[in-house]
Amino acid sequence: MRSPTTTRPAFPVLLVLLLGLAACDTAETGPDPDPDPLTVERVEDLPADPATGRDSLGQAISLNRFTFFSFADGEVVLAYDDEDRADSSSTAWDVAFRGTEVIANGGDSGPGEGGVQVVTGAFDEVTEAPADGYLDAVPGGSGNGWYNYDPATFTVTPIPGRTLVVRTADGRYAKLRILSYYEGAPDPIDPFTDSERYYTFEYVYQPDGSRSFVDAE
Amino acid sequence: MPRPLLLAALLAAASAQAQPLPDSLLAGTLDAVVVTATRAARALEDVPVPTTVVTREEVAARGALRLSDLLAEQAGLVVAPGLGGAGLQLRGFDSAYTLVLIDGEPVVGRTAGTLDLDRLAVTGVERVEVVRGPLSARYGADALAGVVNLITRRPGERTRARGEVRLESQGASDVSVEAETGGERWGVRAFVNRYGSDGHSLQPELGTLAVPAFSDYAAELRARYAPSDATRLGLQARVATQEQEGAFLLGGALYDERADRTDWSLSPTLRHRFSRRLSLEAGLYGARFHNDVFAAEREGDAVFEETAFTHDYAKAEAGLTWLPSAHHLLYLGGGATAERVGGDRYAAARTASQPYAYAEHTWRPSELLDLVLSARYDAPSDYAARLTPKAAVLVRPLGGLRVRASVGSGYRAPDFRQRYLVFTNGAVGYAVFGAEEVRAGLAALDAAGGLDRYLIDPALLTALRAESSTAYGLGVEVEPWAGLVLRVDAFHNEVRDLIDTQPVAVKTNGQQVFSYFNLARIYTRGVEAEAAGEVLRSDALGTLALGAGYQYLDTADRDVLDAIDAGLLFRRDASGRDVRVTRADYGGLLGRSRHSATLRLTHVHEGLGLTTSARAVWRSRYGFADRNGNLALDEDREYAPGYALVHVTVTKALGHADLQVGVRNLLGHTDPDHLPSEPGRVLFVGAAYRF
Repeated sequence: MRSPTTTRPAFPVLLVLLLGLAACDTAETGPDPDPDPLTVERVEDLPADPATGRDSLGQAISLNRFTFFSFADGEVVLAYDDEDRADSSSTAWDVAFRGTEVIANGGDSGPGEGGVQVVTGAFDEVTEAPADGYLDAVPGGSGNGWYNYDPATFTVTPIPGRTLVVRTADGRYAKLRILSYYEGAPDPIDPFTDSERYYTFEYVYQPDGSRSFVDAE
Repeated sequence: MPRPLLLAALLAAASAQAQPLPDSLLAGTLDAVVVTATRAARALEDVPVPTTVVTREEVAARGALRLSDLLAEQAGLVVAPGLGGAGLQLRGFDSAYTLVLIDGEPVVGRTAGTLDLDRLAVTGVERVEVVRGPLSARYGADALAGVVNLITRRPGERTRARGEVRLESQGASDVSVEAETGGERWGVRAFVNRYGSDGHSLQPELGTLAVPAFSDYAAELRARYAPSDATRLGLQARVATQEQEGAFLLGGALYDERADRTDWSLSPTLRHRFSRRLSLEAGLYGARFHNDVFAAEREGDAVFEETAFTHDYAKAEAGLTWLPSAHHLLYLGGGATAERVGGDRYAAARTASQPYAYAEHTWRPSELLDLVLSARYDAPSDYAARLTPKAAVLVRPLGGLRVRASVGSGYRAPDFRQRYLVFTNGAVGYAVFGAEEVRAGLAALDAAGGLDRYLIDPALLTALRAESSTAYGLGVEVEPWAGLVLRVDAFHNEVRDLIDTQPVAVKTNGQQVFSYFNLARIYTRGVEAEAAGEVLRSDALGTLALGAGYQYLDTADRDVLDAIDAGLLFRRDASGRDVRVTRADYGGLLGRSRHSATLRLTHVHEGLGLTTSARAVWRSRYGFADRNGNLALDEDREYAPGYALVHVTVTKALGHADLQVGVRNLLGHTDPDHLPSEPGRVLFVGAAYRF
């Protein structure tokens, strides 16, 4: 079962290696007569294809690969720098990150039943996943999806009041709120010294297959 | 020394008391005071559009060297440092929307839309006129905020020269020499200026320079010749160069920057008077601005910028002034401009031309009322022709009371940068393409494998439209008694289709590609109030004049207001919760102070030959940058703190010489984070000698 703690340690890649096999899947157990209360989980510094070096002009280069995350496991299942990419075309993941791109496991993005959409509303206020309107990926571009890019400060920041609702690869639901795009979630951000493409986010995963994000009475 | 508005008003008051107000417009054309606001030269109090004047006496008393110094101390004007230098914010508009003229001709050479006011010396000027609002049909429809006209001194009829030296405590120095000679029919005046500094740092430990080292040279020549009583020929020529060396920090690395700039202009003019009621004016104007910038990492190979930029501008114009009767004054004019830009940030040399015509009709049906109707027709080479009508009225219901009302429209075609820029930032790696270049630029990037994905369907990229505005103004000016003038002006500007950048694609290096779009609808509105008067006049104690100005400014992006009203705009509070932004939270456009004020005190003691000028400028906090992700100004930490600057100058006249001591920024205010170009307290001494 998932840990009830609300804060995950940093370096989820390591955790995948240590805990990935130990995680169990709640999907096959049917309705739990006494389910765990829904908790807000937090993931820190998920690396979404960060720079691996600089080219001859001094510009950043990266591997151009996604990092895949599973809500049921609560962990990264395949990191951008893992050489074995087999899991990328499986239903082991629900949502994946590369730069500012966020995709779900469905349609053109993956073999699962997944989808994602941006709901306008504070994270706490999103109490139910919409029945439809899911896309393969969060719309790109500043102001269109999850982030704003401020050309005056060269900074990517999550748009407050935007909640990503994700349908998982196996048709369950989670809601997710991105907190930072920079390593260590600095505030204020210095785009010239802080490393970008590191996601800190929090989420609530509803394992029972319903669209509700509140505990059943 | 009274301030110029007051001086003009005093003269007006004196003449108004001595004789009935003329109901003929003939008088207005004879006593020329202001030339910028309407096409015909008018006495200041007869101008129906809010206009202020700074005279050469005021420039001298303040010891102002550059146009930026002078304008920063005017009520309602804010000089804000930015990417392109010291830009003027007028009535809530950015620098790009104010036209800056020398002798009625536009100064060319803007960086990121900003015309650097530090470029222009005011030592040799006769006066500076500031017209507020888009109400000047003559100078173009694109001056949505207003017009600043720097008027140089007309060559006199005697032979004389003047030299001036100034030294400042932070290493800057200024030397200027002017000489003139002439007679009744001709005259020549030359002016040479050198202004330089070794640079100044607020944070020496970082190695950066708040004020870069620079050395500016400027030379001006103005000549006049009247072959007959009815015909006057004129020539204005100007050349200026600047070499600048600075240093800045980027990503922890120190970069050295060197910039070399040259600009020149030449303008022959002709005026011919056919009769007392009909005269012709014609002129040619040519100007060039050239800039080379090189910036590279001090200890490394990275080149941040290596660019050359050239802007050429040519104009021919002619106009007729006609007084069909004593109650009507007509001005009809027309001309054409041709422009060309080229340089490293353009794929090829780009040109544009714009024929135009304008008409202005001033009607004085009675001594109570002046009505000015004007319209301008522009036919730019690449955009739809546009007619911009304007109307202004001046009512004098009672002696000492003047009411002004105006409505006008303005429009501004996209500039070369917005249309044709092709720019990749060397150090960071992002790219910006003008609207006409973006498809080709993206296709080229894609073909070279440099494009990761599109953020906007390239098929949806459309041509830019011109920005357009509507401006309303209402003002009251009253002289409760001779020597005191109170003025209140309210203004409201609605602007549509403002052009701004937006990312269109992501490169494989993760950086974005930007282009220009018609994005925003904004308004700027506010109230300006000014009081000026003489509080003391005696032989023993001298003359003491006070002036106070205040501006209340309210600005907003209408799309942000719509998002707030629809409940779509949130911010993340200190505890991490997302809360809805309310209208009360919203602070409007960045860089605008809600309140700003000026205070001026001028004391002249003729007996002692002493002139003391003290000025205080204050602005309240202003939006600096978004910190909470919603790109709207809605939290205290997104503001830069307000500040006050106090300047004092004392001038002592000694026969042919003037000695001056002064202090800029007496309180020593500095703010490296928000106001890096403000060097703090500066002491200066100067001397001038007349031959």
